Amino acid sequence: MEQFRIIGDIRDYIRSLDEFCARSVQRREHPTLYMDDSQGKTYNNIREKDYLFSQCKQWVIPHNQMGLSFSARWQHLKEKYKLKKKWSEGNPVDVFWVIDKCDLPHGLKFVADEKDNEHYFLTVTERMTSHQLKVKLIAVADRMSVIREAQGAL
Amino acid sequence: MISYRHEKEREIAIFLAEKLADHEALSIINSGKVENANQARHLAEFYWRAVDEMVKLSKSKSEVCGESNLEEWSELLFSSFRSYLKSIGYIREWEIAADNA
Repeated sequence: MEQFRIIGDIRDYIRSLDEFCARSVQRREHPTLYMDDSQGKTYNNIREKDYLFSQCKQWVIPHNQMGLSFSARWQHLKEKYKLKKKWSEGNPVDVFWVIDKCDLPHGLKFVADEKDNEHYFLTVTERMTSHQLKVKLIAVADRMSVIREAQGAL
Repeated sequence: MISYRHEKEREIAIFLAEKLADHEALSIINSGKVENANQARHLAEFYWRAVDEMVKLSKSKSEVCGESNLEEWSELLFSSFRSYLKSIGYIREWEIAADNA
């Protein structure tokens, strides 16, 4: 993970990209996993409502409109950042991002929300165990860049 | 029509509109549709007031419609209201309300 120190530069850089996928995350939270159930029921650190789970909750089933939520436009990111900030009780909120055409782990794909093209889902394209998905989501997090103290940039 | 991924979103929105005594928001949510720009603006502004209320309720460990993980429900309502207003041409009203929240 790379830390950008010149926030204005990275803001302008992100704006220049045709496509990016970004998430607002409270400081010390993981960018792609949920370490407890405080933001919704989880299985293997994956939120139940983000993916389509099998009845036994051991498997994740492909669905092209379900997946971890990402902003794909600056305005959407700014709004999701504001929402996250309201819940952060004053803690810093960072922005993690990747280019949407980045080399994702096999079985994962960014898909535009059919109801809002400023929003993308990180979907699964094949049936996999929740543990396998967790490992792939960790790999995605490792490829993400981060804007620290993003408040000034947004 | 406002399309929710989970029916519980609508229940929570109604609860919050009643708690905030916001009759206009209640009417929009009950009818499931926005008729004009003023209503679009109102729904967008209601959303951010509702978020503030959910944060307060969460801090006091209160449940809403049997749910305690209100941050997740605030994200779901964000997607439902935003995508609806965008689909009917009122994204600008949503964006202004978000910028002012």
